[in-house]
Amino acid sequence: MRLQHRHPLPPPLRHSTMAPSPLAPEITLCPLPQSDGSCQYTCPTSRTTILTSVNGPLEVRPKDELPNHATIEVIVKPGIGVAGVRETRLSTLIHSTLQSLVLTTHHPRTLIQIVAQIVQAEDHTSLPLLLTPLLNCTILSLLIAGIPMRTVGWSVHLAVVQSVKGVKGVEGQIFRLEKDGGDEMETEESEEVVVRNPNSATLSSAKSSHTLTFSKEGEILLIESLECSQGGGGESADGQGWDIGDFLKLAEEGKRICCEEGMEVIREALADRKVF
Amino acid sequence: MAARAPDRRRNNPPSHGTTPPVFLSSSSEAVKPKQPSRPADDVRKIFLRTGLISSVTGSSFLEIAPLKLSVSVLGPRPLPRTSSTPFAAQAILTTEVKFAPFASTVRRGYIRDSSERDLGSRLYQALVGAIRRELYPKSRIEVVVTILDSEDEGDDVNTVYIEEGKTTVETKFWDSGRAERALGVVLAGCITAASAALADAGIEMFDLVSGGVATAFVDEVNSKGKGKGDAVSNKLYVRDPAIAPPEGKTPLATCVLGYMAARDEISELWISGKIGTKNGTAEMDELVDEAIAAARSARGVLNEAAKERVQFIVDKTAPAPPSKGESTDIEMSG
Amino acid sequence: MATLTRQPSSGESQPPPLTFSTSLFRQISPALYLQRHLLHSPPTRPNGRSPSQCRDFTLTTNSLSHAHGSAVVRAGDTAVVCGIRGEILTVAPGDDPSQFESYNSSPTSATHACGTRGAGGASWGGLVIPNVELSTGCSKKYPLGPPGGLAQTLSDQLHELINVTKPVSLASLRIYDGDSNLSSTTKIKGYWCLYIDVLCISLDGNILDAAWYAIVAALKSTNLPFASWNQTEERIFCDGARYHPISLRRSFPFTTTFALIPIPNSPENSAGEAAILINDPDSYEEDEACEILTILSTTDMGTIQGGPSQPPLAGSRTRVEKIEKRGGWKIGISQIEICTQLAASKAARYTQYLMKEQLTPM
Repeated sequence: MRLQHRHPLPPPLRHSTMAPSPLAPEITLCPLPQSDGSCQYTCPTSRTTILTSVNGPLEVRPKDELPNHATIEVIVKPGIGVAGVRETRLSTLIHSTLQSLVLTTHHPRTLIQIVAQIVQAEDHTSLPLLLTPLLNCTILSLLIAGIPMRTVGWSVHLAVVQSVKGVKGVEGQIFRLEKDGGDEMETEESEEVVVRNPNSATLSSAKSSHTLTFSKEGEILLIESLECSQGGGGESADGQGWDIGDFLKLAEEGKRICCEEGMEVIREALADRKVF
Repeated sequence: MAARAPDRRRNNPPSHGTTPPVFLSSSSEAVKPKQPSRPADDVRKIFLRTGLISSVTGSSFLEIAPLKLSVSVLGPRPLPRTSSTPFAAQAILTTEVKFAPFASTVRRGYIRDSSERDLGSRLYQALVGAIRRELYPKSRIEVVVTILDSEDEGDDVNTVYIEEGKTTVETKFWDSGRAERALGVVLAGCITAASAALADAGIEMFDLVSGGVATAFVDEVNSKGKGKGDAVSNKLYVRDPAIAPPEGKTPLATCVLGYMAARDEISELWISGKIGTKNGTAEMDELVDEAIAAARSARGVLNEAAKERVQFIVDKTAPAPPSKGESTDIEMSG
Repeated sequence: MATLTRQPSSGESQPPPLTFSTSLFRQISPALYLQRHLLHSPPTRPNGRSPSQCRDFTLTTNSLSHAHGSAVVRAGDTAVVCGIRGEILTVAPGDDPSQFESYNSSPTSATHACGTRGAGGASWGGLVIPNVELSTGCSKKYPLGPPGGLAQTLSDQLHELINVTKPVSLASLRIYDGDSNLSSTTKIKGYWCLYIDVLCISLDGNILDAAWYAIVAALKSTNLPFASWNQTEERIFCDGARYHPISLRRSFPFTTTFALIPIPNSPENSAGEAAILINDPDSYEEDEACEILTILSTTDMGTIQGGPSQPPLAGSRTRVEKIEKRGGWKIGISQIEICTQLAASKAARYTQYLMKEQLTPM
């Protein structure tokens, strides 16, 4: 049962699809007029498409009721088949991120329900490819639904690739990290590069994958960084991994992307919605 | 080899499905089951410890040679407040027995199978009469047994024997009472450990229940129908039997019981096999007496474990002499 | 009739403040209880540890009779049992064996992606299959029955740890035709599939670290029987007399989990701390934590020669293989750097203890 109506009339069905530029994701706001807030998000390179719907504050089941907080429920629905452990983990990760963003004390004893449907994905079992689109899409639909939030966040997925060669479909997404006192002898081809929004093919040749989520103020909301080099394991896996210094540099870059470019994407998407 | 439907709450093997390893052996060196080296009226050493799990009301850990099991008691706690929950004047007891996937020769799944459910209901019968359930109205008490290791059929169940070049794919035939003996030892252990855990939880009981198991064996020829006349004289009762039968013997029947020594009452009795009171003999009574004797020896261990635990609690709650630890305590008021 | 008599000795004082015993305070106000402890100088947790101190642990390997490898780890009041069991996967004639020999098999086409998801819906895994069971009555808080969110998340995290660290050489799990050791792929008749089952016996926080340590120790203790393809019977048989260890990584990474306890502004908070990071939280602390950080790292073998008392240098070769931080917003980049150093010293301790265990088998 709906306790409160944020929008007395459903918002006009208008798709504010952004012009596809190589860096920006494709965002469609309010594709589902019946829900309080909804959003469809497509990653520019991997074409991972997520559709989320947010409803709330709703009446909460007595079992889940919290006396001075709103209950947040996140359901991730897979593109193929029924949900498994991977989807449960994805919803746990999104839930813990939203818990620190949504002001749950504003609507105690209510339910804020988020349903995220994976519409299209290159690899339906890959956590790194799904997490960033899921988070960004959820945050946009929360803004549309008018759920009170402490701040907004944005997520970016970065992959460290050994060389530019063999990386396809991610044009305009490649950058290099500055090395302090790094070898000037290194040739262009062998130098490590960072690819933004990698697709499945890029990820399979990558050394590591980093999903970084920052708030507008530059606080770290979520880090999901993992070594992802290929191999048959055993002794060949010895010595893999990265140095913490490299990671910190990458995190700084991720922070810049989220706080500047990510916020710009949100601002443009919501330009005429008077959310800010 | 067709794979079952995947479990969507767990990680699954490749869709091809897997099979347990099958061993190859030549019949000349057929694996002889290990013979028990102890006399028939002797029982294995029991290791029993209570209160090892801090986050539950009561717990115990029991080890009898290969058998290892852990028991947790949750509750008494209120029944869930749903419209379908009926009023309960007495505490509702639930018992669950689960083998770990690696507890037996053939890997078990996570979903409880029929033998686990059967053990659970027998454990329920053994305990339900001993607990003073009327003292805990509108509440539930849950007993959860996890079996980590057990004496099972052994690797030779999956063994294929070769005879002079030609392979006979035939698993070796084992005597019929094997599974009952294996389950009986497990059940007796479950009963003993569960009552130790209930005592650790401080749940009021009429008496501690201890489990006992005994098997009646006869000479191998007798079971084939010959020499029925002297069957009585050759009967061998083995307390706490091992999986392998004694040399040249065939099992007749196995008896498992839950026994309250102080009240001399049997709370659960399970006999399987061919035994009766035919020809005016007291075979069955003798078998039950043997099982009671096994339960009595388990009771001794149970008493010791309970005493140890009470002493521990008394020592802990008694005002301790001032020590160095006191000074690091932080003043709490508000 | 009761009359209030004035105490002659006491002056015009206030009634005594409401006070609670320590154990009562612990029960009724866990957040405040924890904060007061951490604001004490030096900061001490209710369990007596300092914020960066982890629990002592014990390790026993190969104590189960039916598992091919096993380990029991007890860290404080968290106890897990890990059993590893090998089963045989027979390769069908048309199969490409190479699909089994990769941890991150990333299907590129949509049809392939459908294949990995089987008809039943849930995804199928690889040759190493970890699972966690919490429905063992390990804690009051965890309900019995099918795995809930925590158990499912843990199973997936452990699966990811396996895929990230690639501990087992998958090529060493091959089963060939006959005793030949030819590495020709046509001779591959099957694979060993390793079921890793972790049962939590007692749950008192930070189960991930204990479970991962148990898995590593159990993998090191695993011995599989020699298996080969029998041409007359056309099936795979094992030799019960000969066992071999599996081919593993030499340096294992270990996870270290930290929890962040928020500290609100209060008169006691003179230092103005916003939050305090604690290593290896127990479940009492986990309930109050708003942020969890897990670092998976290896320590170079050279750094642990000096003994546990010597902390690894900041510049030593510590390789990080996974960082996960979720919930909250207070952990900064500098804190991650500090935690990495703590994680490295814990990994060194684990590695050293594991080597000692290998030398003195149970």
